[in-house]
Amino acid sequence: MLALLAQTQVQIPEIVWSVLWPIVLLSIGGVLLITATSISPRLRVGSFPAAMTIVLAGASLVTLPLIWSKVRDGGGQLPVIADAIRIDAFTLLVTGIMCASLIVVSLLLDDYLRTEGLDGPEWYVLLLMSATGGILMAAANDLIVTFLGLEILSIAVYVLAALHLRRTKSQEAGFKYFILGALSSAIFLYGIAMIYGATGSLRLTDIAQFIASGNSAGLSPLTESSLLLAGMAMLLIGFGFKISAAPFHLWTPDVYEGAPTPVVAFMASAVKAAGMAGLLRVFIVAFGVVAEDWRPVVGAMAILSVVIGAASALGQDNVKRMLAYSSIVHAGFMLVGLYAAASGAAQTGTRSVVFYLFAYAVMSLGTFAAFTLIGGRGDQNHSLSAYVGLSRSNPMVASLLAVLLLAQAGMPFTIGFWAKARVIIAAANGENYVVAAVAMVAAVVAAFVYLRLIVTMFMISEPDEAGEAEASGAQLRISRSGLFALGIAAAATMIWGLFPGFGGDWFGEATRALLELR
Amino acid sequence: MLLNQFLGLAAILFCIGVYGVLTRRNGVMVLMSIELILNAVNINLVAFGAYQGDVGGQVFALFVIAVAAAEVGVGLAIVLLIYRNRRSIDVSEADLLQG
Amino acid sequence: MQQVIWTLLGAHVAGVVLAAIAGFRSIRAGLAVAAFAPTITAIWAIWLFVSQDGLAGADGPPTSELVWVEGLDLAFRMQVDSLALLMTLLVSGIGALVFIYAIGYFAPDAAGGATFPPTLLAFSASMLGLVWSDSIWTLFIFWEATSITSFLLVGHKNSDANVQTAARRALMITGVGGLVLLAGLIILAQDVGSSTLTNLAAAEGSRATLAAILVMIGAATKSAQVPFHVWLPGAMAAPTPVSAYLHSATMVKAGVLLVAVMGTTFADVQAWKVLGLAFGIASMIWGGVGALRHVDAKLILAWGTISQLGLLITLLALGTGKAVFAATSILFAHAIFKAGLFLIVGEVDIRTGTRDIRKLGGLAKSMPITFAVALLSGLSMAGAPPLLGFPAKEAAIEAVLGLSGWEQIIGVVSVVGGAVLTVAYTTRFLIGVFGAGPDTIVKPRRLAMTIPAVVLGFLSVAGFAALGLVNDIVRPAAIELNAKSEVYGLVRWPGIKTAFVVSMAVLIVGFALGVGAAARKVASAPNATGADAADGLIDGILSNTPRFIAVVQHGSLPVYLATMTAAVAVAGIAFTDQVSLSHLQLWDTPLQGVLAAGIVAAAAAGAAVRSRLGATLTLGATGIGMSGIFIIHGAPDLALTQLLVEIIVVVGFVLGLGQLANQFPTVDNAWRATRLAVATLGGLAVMAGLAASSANPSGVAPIEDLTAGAVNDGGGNNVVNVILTDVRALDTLGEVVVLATVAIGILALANTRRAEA
Repeated sequence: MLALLAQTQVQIPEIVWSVLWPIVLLSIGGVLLITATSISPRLRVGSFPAAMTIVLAGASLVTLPLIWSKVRDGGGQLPVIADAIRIDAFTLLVTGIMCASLIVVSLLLDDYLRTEGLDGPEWYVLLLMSATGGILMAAANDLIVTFLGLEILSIAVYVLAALHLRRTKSQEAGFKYFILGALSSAIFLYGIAMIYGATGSLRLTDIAQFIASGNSAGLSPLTESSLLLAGMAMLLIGFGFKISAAPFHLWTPDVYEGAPTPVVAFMASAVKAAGMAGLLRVFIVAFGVVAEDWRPVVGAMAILSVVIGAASALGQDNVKRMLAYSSIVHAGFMLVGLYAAASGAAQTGTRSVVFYLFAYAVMSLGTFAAFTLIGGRGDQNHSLSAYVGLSRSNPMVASLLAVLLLAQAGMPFTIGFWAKARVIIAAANGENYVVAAVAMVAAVVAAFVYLRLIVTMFMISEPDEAGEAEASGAQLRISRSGLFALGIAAAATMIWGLFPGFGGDWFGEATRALLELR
Repeated sequence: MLLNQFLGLAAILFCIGVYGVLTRRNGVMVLMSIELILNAVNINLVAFGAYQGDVGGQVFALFVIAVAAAEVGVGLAIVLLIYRNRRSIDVSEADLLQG
Repeated sequence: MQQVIWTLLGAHVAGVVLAAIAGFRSIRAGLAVAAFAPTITAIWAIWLFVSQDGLAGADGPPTSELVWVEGLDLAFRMQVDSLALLMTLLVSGIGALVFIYAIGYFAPDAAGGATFPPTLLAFSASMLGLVWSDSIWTLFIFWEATSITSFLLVGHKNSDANVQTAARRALMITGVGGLVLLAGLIILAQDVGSSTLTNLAAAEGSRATLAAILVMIGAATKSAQVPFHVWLPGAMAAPTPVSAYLHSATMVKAGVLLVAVMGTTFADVQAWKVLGLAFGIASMIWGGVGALRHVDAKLILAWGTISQLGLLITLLALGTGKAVFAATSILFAHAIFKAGLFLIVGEVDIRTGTRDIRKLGGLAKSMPITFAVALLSGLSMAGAPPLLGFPAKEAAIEAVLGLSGWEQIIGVVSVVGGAVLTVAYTTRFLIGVFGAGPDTIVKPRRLAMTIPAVVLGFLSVAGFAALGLVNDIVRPAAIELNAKSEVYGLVRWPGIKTAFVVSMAVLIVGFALGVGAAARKVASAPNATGADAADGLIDGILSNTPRFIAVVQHGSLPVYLATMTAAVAVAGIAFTDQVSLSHLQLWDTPLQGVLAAGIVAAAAAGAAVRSRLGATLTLGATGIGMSGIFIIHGAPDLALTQLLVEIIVVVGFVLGLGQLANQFPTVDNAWRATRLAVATLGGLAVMAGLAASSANPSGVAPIEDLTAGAVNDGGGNNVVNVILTDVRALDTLGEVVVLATVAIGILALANTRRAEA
């Protein structure tokens, strides 16, 4: 028996572990964190879990340049684990967004949990797990991995949304998000099954090859495989739900309002970025050849998103709902970029979406960081009236928030301007004038929403009223870590607004990585 | 053996699942209905796998079974939490958040 | 030269930051700091005019390009030509005076120190950028930036609802106007293949007409032309320095400037001229009438501005060399006298506490310096010699007299009519504010307010005295717009010609009309119907969106679920035409049929049954049926897994349900029918898609190869197991992470419950 065992060789696929550091650090680190805190309950309280999360995310960030040098030596693409995932510039960029989001959210969460009288490393562990899922989604070269990434990402966030024990709204948010998410996951899976049936493969690059060979043989996939079309439509529904694009956006305002604000910061930045990254990866790499077929659906979703989002944001008095609708507009803008990419402007279109991903993550992190600080104890001060006179009581927070809101409105000299400008230019390159025009009108309407909030903050009551300390304008207790997080985001908004090429051509590299796989 | 028998069965299951999702007001029952949809997916996967001569479908079906079970776990936990706070798991009553 | 452009813009940006910092101490300190950048810019512009070689010395106008991002057509392209320099002089010169004036206007302890000075300076910078930009993108950005800063300046003063409405109205009209303008410019840029403003050329045929209409509408919104004028009177809620600067001297001129610059491009497009004349003449007359009806001195001036802007647009739309020259001259003269008059109204307001001409009286005696300045600026506005307004208006009358055919008739009638109204409302304004009436109590003079007004009043005289210098400023700009302007110049004494006679007649008739209007006491201010309509439209949009959201964003989960399912149905319906039922065959082996029927029955029962235990058990039955299908399909491992998991899930459900109340709520029938329909539709669509695509007989699985591979390479006999642990190792790892996440999640939720208890 032993002899037999000695003879049998087990062939293990060669795995380049060194390029998987971020995934390993975040997932194993999360498990270690919960283990450590279970063994020693003293570690549960205090800032240990937050610090640990920041260290893990920071360490992952540090490994990125090292991995990039390896990837570059390998020609820009590193297939890992039997080609199930690809480590390339795009993956690394999304990993960076995930880690940055983790750091900012941890900074917010530490003080939030203390104020709310909650504790527990579970919050952080779930964040770590969720980020791992997001990275997997962006890296996946296989629909199974995409699905697993999606599930890891989502399940953790369902729980996080419901985790505020005293807010019934929080549980309702988690419940709604979960039920709708589960349905969208099921539809997504159904779509994968159809794609599998149509092409016989789950690997993105193989699917692309299959479709391309069908095309060259003169078979139009449109008539030959309605299975493929139905599958793509269902995948779009699944992704559309994650990035909250209309008409799959319905959960967004409810969940943003109900969920704990730091968690919303994570949803808006990391979850949306991961969803969009997965969408880009699957649709550019696997279905890029048949862009003509999915283009109209993406265009319709884009127009619906910008119109519904902007119109609904107008009447809102709750800032979290307001920004939820605005996040739908932003999703629509990303889809406009994707639409342009499918209409002939492959390079500029894809690049615009890649940049938008990053820009929106930065802006939303900052904005929700400010909302966390202003929301105060009980996470309640989210009505517009709570923002009256904020510029006097907390000039620092008000100014930084104003910068971030202007960026979201697309003001020049901020990162948001470049994001919007690139998308519009890409749409013009792809000759999608109608879509571009609708998007611009929606952007102006949405800009009014942000301006309204800014004006509320900086509004000055008549001097003779002289109500110096109005109830709403009372001094907030601003945590230093939260202010720091807000400051980072605002600084990033300005840095990339003034120098959009800051830090090297990541976005160009990431675009190249995606497009060369087609 | 024809593929469309299985696909037809899957579609019927999907249909029933969707009906359940829409009509059930009990959160747990909505969960069960989603389970039905996932079952439909599994039938598809296995049928397609056989059709394409690939085991990948079966493997994926295994993952789906496990993930479905996991989702049920999380779902039940959330539903129970809500029930404790509200004494109701009627999904159409979950409307604190709207507008 | 190029560095100068960027240095000056940089000085403005730095000034914004410094003014905000200084403003924290007091608003006056912030304003003093903010005045710096406009002052040096104005000095630079004056130096260029005075030094003889100035702009002419270089090869063409100085341009500068800042390529921000390589490969994007988004360069910040700036060009300072003669017209831009003229505007620079106005923007920065009047800007500097307004900042000084504002120091006196605001009380030392006034609120808003950290916001007002930097915002006003930001406007100043945006306006410079607008004037200098030579790219449609740059132009658009600064165009909207002026709208936004204007909104902030109008709306920030107080939390009064009316003020907020007015600010919103202004933003909506000018903001959307900017978009319309951009659309027009993009059409042109596409045909030329360049976004450089000076390279734009009119397109062919209907595209040219469309572009002309869009650009003209965009300009009309900014320059408050009827019927878009409704935002301007509302914007008078802003502090007076803002009104003087933005809403008379500079921002409202942006539209005029654009019409001037695009004049050559659209010279041959009929729609351009017609639309321009329509806007211009309507505004000239309606604005003049409005100025005669109001009793608020500031509103009189605002309506007067609408009228004057209409005159400018009319002249530019006519487009002859003389008309363009006259327009450029009036542009210059108007900025000086109208800003001066606004500053005076602000001073009167601060020192007497009212702007109502019915309550003011005797100010000629109690505020002599102010009265003198008002007289100079007012007479200049009326076009009386010896003031700068006179030669400018002479040029305008000459220009329309020099036309021929129907243009001459329309031009003369409207310009002369407008001029009469202008003289009339000027007279009424001067009599109303400074003439006899109840003696008003006057507070002491504030020097910072008086000096800028005196400077502007003096300029109206000095401009007439040094008309040669004014010619040097105005003529190059006019020549740039229309080369035929070269032969014209402003003259002090035209001699007894038709134009002079007409001009004198205008003064006499207008004066008489004005005296009559001043004598007639107006009981109440006229209603702003146009503004109400605009607000109604905006309010309608704002108030109807909640209703719209209430339908979409119902808050109820079933509605959301139904929406998503409906989307699935739409996705599937596209394939119904490809369904072919001829291939359908119900089953291969009877066992299959039995199992399938069982699964369907169990599932259907599960969806319908009321009892929770029954529902759980039917779910279990479905799962077991599934196992059967898997076995038939040759997937025993899968069947086994399915069976195990199903049991666990059923147990889980039973345990979970045990904690809940023992009743299922019922659903009313109508709702149930809708849902049934949606579900059926969705299911049918999916089935149709599948049936359409799956009419192929399945192949024989070449699983043998894989099996062999598994045994040889993977060292295992169970293919699926080998794949799970070996080929698909990462996926399995991922699965483990999913389960770990779930475990942690459930743990966290359970902890929450414990903590609560």
